[in-house]
Amino acid sequence: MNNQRLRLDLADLAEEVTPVDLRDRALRTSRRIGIRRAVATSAAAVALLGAATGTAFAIRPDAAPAPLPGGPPSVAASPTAADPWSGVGRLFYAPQVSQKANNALAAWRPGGQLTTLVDLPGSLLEISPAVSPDGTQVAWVQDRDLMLADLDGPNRAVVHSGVEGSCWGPSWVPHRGHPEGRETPETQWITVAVRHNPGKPLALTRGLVDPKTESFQFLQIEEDSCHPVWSADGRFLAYTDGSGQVVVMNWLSKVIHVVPRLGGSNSFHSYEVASLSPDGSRVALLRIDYKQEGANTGRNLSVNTILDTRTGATVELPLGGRKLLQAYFLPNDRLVARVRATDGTRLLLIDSDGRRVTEAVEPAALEKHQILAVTSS
Amino acid sequence: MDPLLSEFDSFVRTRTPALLRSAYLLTGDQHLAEDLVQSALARTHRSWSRLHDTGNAEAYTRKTMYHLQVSWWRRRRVAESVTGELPEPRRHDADHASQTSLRLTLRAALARLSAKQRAVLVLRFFEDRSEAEAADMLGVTVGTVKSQTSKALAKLRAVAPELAELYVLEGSAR
Repeated sequence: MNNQRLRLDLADLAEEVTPVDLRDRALRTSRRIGIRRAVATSAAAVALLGAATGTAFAIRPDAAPAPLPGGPPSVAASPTAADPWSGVGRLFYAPQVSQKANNALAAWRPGGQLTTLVDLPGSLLEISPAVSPDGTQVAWVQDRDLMLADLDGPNRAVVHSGVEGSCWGPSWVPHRGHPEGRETPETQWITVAVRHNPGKPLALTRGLVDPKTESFQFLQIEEDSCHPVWSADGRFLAYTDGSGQVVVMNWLSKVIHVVPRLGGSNSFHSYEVASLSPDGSRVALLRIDYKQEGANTGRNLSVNTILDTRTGATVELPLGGRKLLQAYFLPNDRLVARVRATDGTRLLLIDSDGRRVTEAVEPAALEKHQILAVTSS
Repeated sequence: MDPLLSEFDSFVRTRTPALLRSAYLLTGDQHLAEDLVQSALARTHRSWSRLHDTGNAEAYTRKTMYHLQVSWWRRRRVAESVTGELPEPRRHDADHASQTSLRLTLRAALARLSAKQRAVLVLRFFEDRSEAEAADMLGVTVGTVKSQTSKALAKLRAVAPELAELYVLEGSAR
């Protein structure tokens, strides 16, 4: 081959690319890489501290009553009238990071038995798995395909191609039917971002996918949004933006509200939202100092605070001095909080008035997992 | 504004177009090229306090870009957005349409190469790096660069004979 001609043709081909300003995107990615490293470092520090002292975290003397002992494991723990965990279905877990090629999802319920579910081709950070509200299916993004599998079976299928997985991982609309109240009341929609216009820079289209028909419906939402989280009744949607702000949108009126005192020029930012209360008034998120840096490629469901979305104030929780790790709002406005305790990780059920209802020790096998979802039935 | 951030901004804005051109040849796709440069720049930003006064920022960014591309390809076998079907062979006229057709052919042929083969071609024939420089960039031996270059050119000839014919004819005429 004439290498000089190859040089010229490569140069000619390279001119096809459209110049874009990547400054903000690079800074966001840098910030998020930092968060990922900080999470890994703090996890290692906790492990070391725990190993060194055996009692790294003390419960305050005035803390709430001693935790209830976990009941004997049962094969099928169904809620009863006396069940303090009534209203909580199952909790689904996946490793946040993993070196393994395949990682099994796990499910557990306080008083019940830990069960192993479908194998997924990556960790939470890599494929952003999302469990359906009815706890029967899991969706994830693999090589830009939206995949769907039954939680307890080998069946898996590509639902839609060209899907963006890093910032807009799949997010299930919490109830059946279109979020705008029209069409297909039996459809369980999944919110995704799709690249419909290859060749056009930043051509991400946010929309809803019907897993049964694979049809796609466009949703009007701001371009810089990331990690969408729906309220239990589908009335509100929360998401982060590129400047560390958290936005709550009333889905029907399309009115958006930025959570005060967060992002922009404020001291605290957030790039990870995990859960939104049914009325959109409180949000569970990972709040970081603006100087901290953070991750880009996957979902981190860690939570360190609950904020009042109207005032930006911290909502006090009866955690007994223990560190909050994760939190999920239930449709009945209760909150499932996961905390680090001296004996491992614990789940607390907290009423809407801020009273602790009950708590339980999680199986040790789940310590390095993150809760992906909490179902209500 | 923080002077370090200001310096980084300036670096990004002046060097992104050139980085994107290399990334586009590496990936064959606008979005993947943007993702690649964005990721490499983010890592440069993480190390900016160390890099900014050494003059090595661009070299670091490019090296990161090449490593990311090869590792992404290994891990995900990213589906190429460029079609695997080669366009019809170009006609031997020298007009604009012909040049466009040639570009499409070359782009499709590059898409058939492995990430490492494509990387050595871009380094050697687009960035005009020596074999030693290319080896350093990719973290491989000079021998690997030689063998990968040879395989890459052979594969280009195999998947796009009309390119090989054009290049050989033009080369022999000189």
